[in-house]
This record gives sequence, structure tokens and C-alpha cells, in this order.
Amino acid sequence: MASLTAILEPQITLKSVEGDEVILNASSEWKKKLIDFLKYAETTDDRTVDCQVDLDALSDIRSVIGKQSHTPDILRLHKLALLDIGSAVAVFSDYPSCGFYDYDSNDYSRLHDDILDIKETVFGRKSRLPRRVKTGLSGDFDG
Amino acid sequence: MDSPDQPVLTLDTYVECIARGHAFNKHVLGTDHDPAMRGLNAFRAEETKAFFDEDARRLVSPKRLGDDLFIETPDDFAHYIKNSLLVSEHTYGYVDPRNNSVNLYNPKDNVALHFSWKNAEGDLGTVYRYERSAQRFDEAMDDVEDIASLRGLDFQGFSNKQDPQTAAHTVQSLIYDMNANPQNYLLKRDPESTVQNRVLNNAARPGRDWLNDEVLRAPNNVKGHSEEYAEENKLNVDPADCVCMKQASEGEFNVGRTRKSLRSGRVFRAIKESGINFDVEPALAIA
Repeated sequence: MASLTAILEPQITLKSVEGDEVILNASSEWKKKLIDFLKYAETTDDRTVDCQVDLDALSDIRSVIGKQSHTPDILRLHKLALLDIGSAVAVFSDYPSCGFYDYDSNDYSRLHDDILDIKETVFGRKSRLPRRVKTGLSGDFDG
Repeated sequence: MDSPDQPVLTLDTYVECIARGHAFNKHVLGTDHDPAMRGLNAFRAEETKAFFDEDARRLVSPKRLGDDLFIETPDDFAHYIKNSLLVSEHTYGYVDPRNNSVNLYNPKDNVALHFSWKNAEGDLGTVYRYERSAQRFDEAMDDVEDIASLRGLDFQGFSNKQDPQTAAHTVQSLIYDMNANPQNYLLKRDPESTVQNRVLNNAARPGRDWLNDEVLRAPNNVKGHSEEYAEENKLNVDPADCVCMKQASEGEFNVGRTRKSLRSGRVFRAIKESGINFDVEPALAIA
């Protein structure tokens, strides 16, 4: 699903894990993008999110991230919140770039891959989902 | 627990809610926004649609969805869920311990089903078939297993491989609990609306709001099987009783449109000003 303007570098990365809390490197800009994505997931009917993800949990996570909007470049989340974000991200995993009307598809693809990478490290298991941001020639071919 | 005159949620009612709900519009009638699925009956199409992705500036080729399941009508859909998906030896799934939702996937048909009572549509779940349903389902199952572990809850994964009734029994357990403890199935975003009053008190048309959706959702009220589905599944249905979904949809739509026009402000104003004249010639009334 790579777009010509795909964001190639990770924007949210894992800094450390402290007990049940994950500490992420995330700029204010990307915290906002994450909040906007959660809002999109809560309200869109592009995919049926609420049969698989608790929308109230997403709303609570938005509020947690919002409270850290001025904490420079650090985002602290409970592991459960990371899993809820991961579940919301996964619902759109195979949604085509041109299908996103209310959220930027390049931002989504970047978030998708970053969250999968973080989840893989924190929970020590390989994600079942392929990455969306492709680099090199493979990004230009489909099938 | 329910009083004798209070309707009880059954597996049939539950499945009918899903089969006549948004999943029918989106995945059978093809109102899905996904450009690869738009206009497709996901349960008849064996491949996704080719389309040009304007963002990625490339042609996306068709991808394999699965075999033709011949589902055309809501009754076909409900029959498939009860008689194929729930009891297939290929079906496996898990219970989400946070809300007791039962989630199933059948890799042979590539169909996922979520008995999830919390969705905003109020139709108690969804069924779908996308190219990557398998990966998405398995990823969700892994996530829920980790969530259960973090919360110190039991994770219940299951498969029909050993006993083809396992999935059906798991769904029955959910339904039993919904009847016994409806207070646990409150919709947080709409606290007045429990599963009981959302579904059971509207027993004639489960899960649907007759006043607001009669036009948009008219095809979901069509009764009967399609001829091909009945034939493929060896159902004892007289071909004369079979439904052609296209014709049925058009008929229902016209009824809905007429009913809606009768509620329009123009008609109400005309009635207020002139009263109702029952002596109008039938031909004029139609015109």
C-alpha cells in the first residue's frame, strides 16, 4: 500500500518498558496524529471497528495521550492501552490508501508499522500483519 | 431472570439480528466503502475488485477472497451462519473475557464472525470476508490473549476440530448469560439501552428501528432463500417461493419511498389545509 509520499522513517518508537508501562518516543505532532487516528477509529464506518475494539477504551486512551501533549517527546502508556491501539490499527491493516476519507493514509501507514514494531518488542511475538510502508522497488508492485 | 411473558434472546434471534443488520448491507449488498469491495457481494465474489489507488498511483490487482458461498438473501445469510459457520470443523475462535463477545473464523470459507453486543448499529455483531481476514483475526486473538494475561483473566480459545458443536455451545453460553444478566450488557454510550430493550422488546423486527430505517434497510426485511443458495445447500424450498434479491429490493424500496413521501411536510401541509378527501378517483391518487 506504499504511497509516493510514504513516511519512511519510524515516528513513534519504543524507549523502554517499566513494569506494565511502555515509554515511547513520540513528538507532539505524532501524539496528535495518534489522537486523531483514535478519534477516526471511534467514528468511522470505513471498517466496523466497534465489534472488535472497545470504543470507550479508545476514548480513554485519547484522554491519556492528550494529558501528555506537552511532555516533550515522551509518551507513557499502559501495556493494555498499547494493545487496544494495536487492535484499532489492525482493523484497517488491509484498507487501501485511497479509501481513507477522514484520516491521512500516509500517517495511518506510518502509525500502523510503528505500533506493530512496538508491540512485537513489548510482547515478544511476531505480528501476523504485513507492514504497509514498503521501501525500495517492492513498494511499486502489487502482487 | 425473565418473566414468562418477556421474550428471551435465542440463537435464532441473535443470528437474525446479525444477518439482517449492517453486515448484510455492507458485505452482501456491497455498500462497503473499501474500493476493493465496493459493489461486491463478499460471499459470492471469489476475488476482490481491481481498482486504481489514486493515492498510491497504481493499479491494485484482484486478490483471492474464497469460494462462492451463494449467499444472496438475509435468510441465506442466517442459514449459512447457523448451519455452516457455527458447526464447521474448520471453525475456531476465542472469547474476549472483557465483554464475553464470541469471535469466530472459518479459514475454509475465509469468513469471520463477531458475536459482539456492543456495536453502535445495535445489531449485535458483524460478519465479513476480506482478503486478509485470517491475519486480522489471528492478530486480534493474540492481542486478546495478551490482554487476558495482563488483567489476570482466563483466555478461552477453542476449535471445532474435536467437537463441531464447540463454537455453537460457546455462543449459547453468551446468550444464556445475556438473558440471565442483562444488566451486564448495558451499552455504556447509551445507558438506557440494554440488549433487552434494544432487541427483545422489538421482537417483531429484531435490532431494527422501524421508524428510521424502513427505506434504507428495506432489503434486509426480505424473507426467503435465493434459488441458487437453496439448490446448493439442498434446502427443501419450492423454486416458486425463492426470492430474487434484486426484484425484492426494488419492490421494498418503492414501498419505503411511498411511506416516506406520505410523511413529508408537503403532504402534511396539504392534509392540514384541505383535509383528506376519500372520494378522489384511484387513478388521480396514483398520479
